[in-house]
Amino acid sequence: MYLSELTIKNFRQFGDGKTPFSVEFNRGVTALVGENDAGKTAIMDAIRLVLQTRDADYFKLQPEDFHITPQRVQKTEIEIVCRFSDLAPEDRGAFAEYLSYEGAEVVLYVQWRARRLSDSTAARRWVDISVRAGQSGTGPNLDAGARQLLATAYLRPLRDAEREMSSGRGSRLSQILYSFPDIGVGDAFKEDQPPAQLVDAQSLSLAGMSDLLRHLVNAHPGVTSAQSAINDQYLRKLAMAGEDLSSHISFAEGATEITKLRQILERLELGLLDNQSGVARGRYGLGSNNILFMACELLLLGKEPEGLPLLLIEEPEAHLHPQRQLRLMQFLDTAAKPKEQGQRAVQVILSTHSPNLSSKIPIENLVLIRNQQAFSLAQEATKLDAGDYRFLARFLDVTKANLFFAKGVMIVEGPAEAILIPTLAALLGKDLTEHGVSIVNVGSTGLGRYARILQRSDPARGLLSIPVACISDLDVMPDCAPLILGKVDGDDDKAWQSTRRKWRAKRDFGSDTQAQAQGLQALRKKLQDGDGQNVQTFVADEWTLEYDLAYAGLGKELYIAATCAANDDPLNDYRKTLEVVQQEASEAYDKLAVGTSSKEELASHVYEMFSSKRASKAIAAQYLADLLTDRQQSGKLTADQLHTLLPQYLIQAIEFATGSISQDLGGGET
Amino acid sequence: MIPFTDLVAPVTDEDIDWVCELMQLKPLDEARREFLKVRETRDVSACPGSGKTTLIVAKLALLARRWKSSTRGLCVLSHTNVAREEIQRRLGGTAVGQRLLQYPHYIDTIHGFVSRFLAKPWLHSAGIPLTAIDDDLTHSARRRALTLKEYRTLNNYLERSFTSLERLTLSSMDFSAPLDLETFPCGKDTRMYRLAASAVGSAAREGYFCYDDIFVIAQELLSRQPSVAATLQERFPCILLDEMQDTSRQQNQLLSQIFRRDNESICVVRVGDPNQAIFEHGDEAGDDSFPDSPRSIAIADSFRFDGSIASLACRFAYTPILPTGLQGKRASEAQAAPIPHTVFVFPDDDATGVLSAYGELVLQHVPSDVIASCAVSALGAVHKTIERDPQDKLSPRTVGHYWEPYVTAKHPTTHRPESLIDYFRTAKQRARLGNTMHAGLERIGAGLIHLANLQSPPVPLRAESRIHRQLDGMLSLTPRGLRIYRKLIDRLLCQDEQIDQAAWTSWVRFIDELGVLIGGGQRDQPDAMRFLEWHAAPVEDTESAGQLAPAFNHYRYHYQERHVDIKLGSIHVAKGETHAATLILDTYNRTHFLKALMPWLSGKYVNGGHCDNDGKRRRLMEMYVAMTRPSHLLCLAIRKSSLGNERKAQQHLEQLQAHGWTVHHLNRDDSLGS
Repeated sequence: MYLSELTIKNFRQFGDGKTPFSVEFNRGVTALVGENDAGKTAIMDAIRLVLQTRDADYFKLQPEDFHITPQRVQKTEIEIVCRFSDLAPEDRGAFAEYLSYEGAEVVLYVQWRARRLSDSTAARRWVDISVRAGQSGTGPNLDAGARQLLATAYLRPLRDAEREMSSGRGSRLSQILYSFPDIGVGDAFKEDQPPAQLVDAQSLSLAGMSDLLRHLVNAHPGVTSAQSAINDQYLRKLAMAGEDLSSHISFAEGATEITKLRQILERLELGLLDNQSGVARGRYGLGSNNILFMACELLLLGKEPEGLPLLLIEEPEAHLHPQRQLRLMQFLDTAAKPKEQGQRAVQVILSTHSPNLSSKIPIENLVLIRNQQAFSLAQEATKLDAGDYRFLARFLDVTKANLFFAKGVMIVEGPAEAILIPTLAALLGKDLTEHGVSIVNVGSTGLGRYARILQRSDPARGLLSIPVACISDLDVMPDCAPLILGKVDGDDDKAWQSTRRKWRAKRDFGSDTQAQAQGLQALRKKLQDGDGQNVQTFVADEWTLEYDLAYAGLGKELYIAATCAANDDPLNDYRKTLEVVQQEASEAYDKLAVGTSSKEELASHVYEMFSSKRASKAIAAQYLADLLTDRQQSGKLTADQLHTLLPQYLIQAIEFATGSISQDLGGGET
Repeated sequence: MIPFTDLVAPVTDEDIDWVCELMQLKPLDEARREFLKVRETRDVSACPGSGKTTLIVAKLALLARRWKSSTRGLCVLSHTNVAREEIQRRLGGTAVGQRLLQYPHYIDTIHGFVSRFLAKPWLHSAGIPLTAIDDDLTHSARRRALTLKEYRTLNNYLERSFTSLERLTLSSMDFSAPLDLETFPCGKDTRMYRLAASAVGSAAREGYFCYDDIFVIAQELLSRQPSVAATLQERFPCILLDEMQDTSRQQNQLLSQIFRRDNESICVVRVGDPNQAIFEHGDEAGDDSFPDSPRSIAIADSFRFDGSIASLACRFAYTPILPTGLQGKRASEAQAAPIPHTVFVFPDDDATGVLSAYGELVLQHVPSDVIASCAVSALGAVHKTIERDPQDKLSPRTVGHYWEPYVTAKHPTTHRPESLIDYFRTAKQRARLGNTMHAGLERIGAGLIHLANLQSPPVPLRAESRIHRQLDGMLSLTPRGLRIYRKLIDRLLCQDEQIDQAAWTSWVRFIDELGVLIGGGQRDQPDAMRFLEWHAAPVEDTESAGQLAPAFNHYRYHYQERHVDIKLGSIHVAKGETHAATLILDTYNRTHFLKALMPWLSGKYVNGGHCDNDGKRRRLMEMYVAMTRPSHLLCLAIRKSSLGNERKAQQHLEQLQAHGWTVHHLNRDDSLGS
């Protein structure tokens, strides 16, 4: 049995609109990811209210938990419904009177409803809470005993794991140890035959050892002499005539085997040992204790024979360094798919805003929480296909996982874009950081796959309002470029006819300009094939980023940047100065401009700096970014000026990614 | 699935000592110990007065003591809530008892079980609302679905076909065709069928169902979801069915479908007395397979009566009692003389002397402390009201013919008060019976919900399992309603105020308002006002019967300084009761009751071998039930002609005496006898 769906109405930021908030969970691990205030904690708290938790903490509904509408009206009734699926025969038996039958499936619904009775929480009963079975609460009230079976293990963020693992009355550790099958093994202690040898003592059960200890303590000369001193020297003197006052010192101990065992277990504490020396290392950091604590909870959940094996973890990344976080995710994943006999699969629901964790969790286990809506990334919910999931499992890394937390995403194909676009955006007055836009550099492959992560398979069930701008090269050269780049010797070069060449020029698309325009339009359309919903692809107006920058108006700047990149080593070693290199490049560019007859030729010559591998695109992008920033700071370049110097597709992409998407945008496929 | 035998440890002698101590039981014999120890499917036939209910409670205590699972439980089903009340009474204060009354265990009636575990889950899964499981409300919902003219037409038609709208039952969950065409008097294309189907279907759509409809709903779930049986076996690895002999065929079919007795991983214990299978509604026989002899335990000794009554009653057992017939184990009082079990023979046309003669005998032979603590009864198989015709040659036909003031009361289990004041009176009684006010509170709540439903509320209210909590919650937003409700409870239950007419009249206005606040209906509705009318209590307080007027349907006989109150009633109602003395009255249904049983009385027949029809079988069982009520004195009142003609009568009288009866002839002129 696992918690498969949660529906929330009028709780905290969740209202009761046409389609109330609902989130689906996986059998194994589900990670709720999203920006702050998206509702992750509210979901966790809703689960805690309905199912209750197994620790001693009592979580109470607060007046402010009732939803306040945008019109500032506070609702008076909260409704939270949990749906449990995949019930084993034992689960069905345990909840027989509460079950719902949906077609061939047998499920359990638990409806939790709180009704506000009084404005003042000082009133004895300010809220009336009912917990019933059935999707709309038409089933019977859930019996306390049945409800206990649903209690979850809950790990709050920034918990004090050290305290939780220490000894003491009702300690978590004692509860965990108590449920171990072998904990009761051993012989009982017999008062008339105390163990003669150490071996005999070792064969005692824990309760037996406790009895042995009591036996020895009571017989200890210190104890016996203290007892007779109290009796002889004090009590007797205080007694009235004929009264017989006497005392007995004894080892305080539970009456039954069970309480004895519990008392022993409560005295144990769990600590970490140093791996090399094998001795206790004293206090460990919070992080290590947290790991220990989670391990124990998982163990307990897996060992128990009955009840709902659900573990809620808020921000498991707390106190853990990135590598530990990754290990933790692997561990949780294995706990969800146990192989060991007698160990149950544990369902784990966690909330996180760590890209580290998110990148390690299989995408299908992620649920994005955005604007009070949940977007599962499970296979049937997104436009990704099985191949995409396999691809992304391999290539989605920490930096790319950023996209789960962004308000907007720009997906680019190379480092030059990744370096340059944030600067350009900032110079245009659309700072990406300020707008919460992440740049995801996918390298040369899989642009479409990353875009599809955020596209929904069923738009009717809500769309993600994260604008995703994909930036793509057109990869078609002007007809003059092949010669400039040294790909051909002239118009009649045989290379033009080669079927194996890896480049294309405009003339490949037709003999006249009209045919070329049509052909290029078709290519553009093809590159934008995956668009729809919140995803839009912006294709280079001409050829590639560098060419287009040069072509649109930054030819000289880019040429200077490329020259600097070509001289990167001498510049870094101070063999050359930046001013000199820039000056020389500027002059060289002017000379080039004179020698060429068209914008295309000039821009192709700039691009030749990169195609000939003299300059690195990434390094040049860095120099260009610096150059433009300098200009802007020294007042030589305004945003408006820059606007006229940039290729249109870049400006549009930046505006799209930083703009807000209204909910109904892209309501259908186009 | 872990089989039941692996789930609980075997019951040891030490365990049995523990339960005997806990419940203060006398030492138990082998058959009873076997019943307590058994962990496999068994049928237990327990004779009257064998302490069956106590044994069941003891068995439950033993099981609960070692019960470990928090998801699997014991299921105890019966026809009444006696088992639950008995556990509450005998074990309520103990930890074991409290555990038994909670999840995951279930102790209730068969109806309760079927509706909670099968019918209700299916209804809420199918999205059908459940407004009420109640015959009366369902019948009025059916009437509402038709216009007055349609209703009259249909009802006239049905009456001509010897049935009625009330007697139509749901036979399918397809609410557009909810009736069984086999039993409906005409075909499905007729107007009458359409009217009836629309009435029954529309009540069902609104969520009104009759008590027995829940079996149809349950059957629907079972056929659609065959896994339900496995689910319930998982939940209840041990099922105890009490009063097995009273289970109807429909109930038995459903239960044995779920809890199959050949399933070795569960334990089905059926307890009952096959010789006491007398049905309330006189219908079909239940399960002929009970008890299943290869796997049965017989408890044949009764603590209620001694050997003299046991030997008189034994031959009336339909099924022979194993191993050696019915045994009476009541320890008689020290130096007590044998009590003469008497046959009163009265003249055919004059039964007036019977009760007084019986009363005198009781005062003579039954110790007064026994009279004070147990009822002295006079029971008849027929007790319905029949006008007495002085010329009637067949008189006395019914209990009332022995004593004119007798009033046929409704059976208490099906009795629903017709006025709110009666709800409140029973509430007060119930609160006094238990240690907590719970039962009383629920009764008041039930009355108020009924009132609210009579005030034409916008949506009918449905009583939940804890009505008091429900009302308290509903009224929490209307402080005035809550105040009236709480005050009512305080005065009725806490202060135990006696309600007289003046007080009631002053309350009515507030209670009417309270009903409106609960259900949202209107004040001064005619139905509601009728329900709120005052009338005097029909049953006097019986607490101090010695001093006060005799209780309802009690005949008082005075003899010198002493008196005895004889409770008249039907054999059915007396089932399960223990009396100090019982007089079985001759009544008439096709033939005179005792006349028909004369072959058994005379010793010609023994057991049920000669009962070739249901009527005969039923009569024999009624006789057996009646004969096994008394602890001390058993009497018969027989019409002279029931003994047969002159010669036959003499022979019969000799035979009766030979079997241990004392014969007492009553004469017309001297009703006190000679």
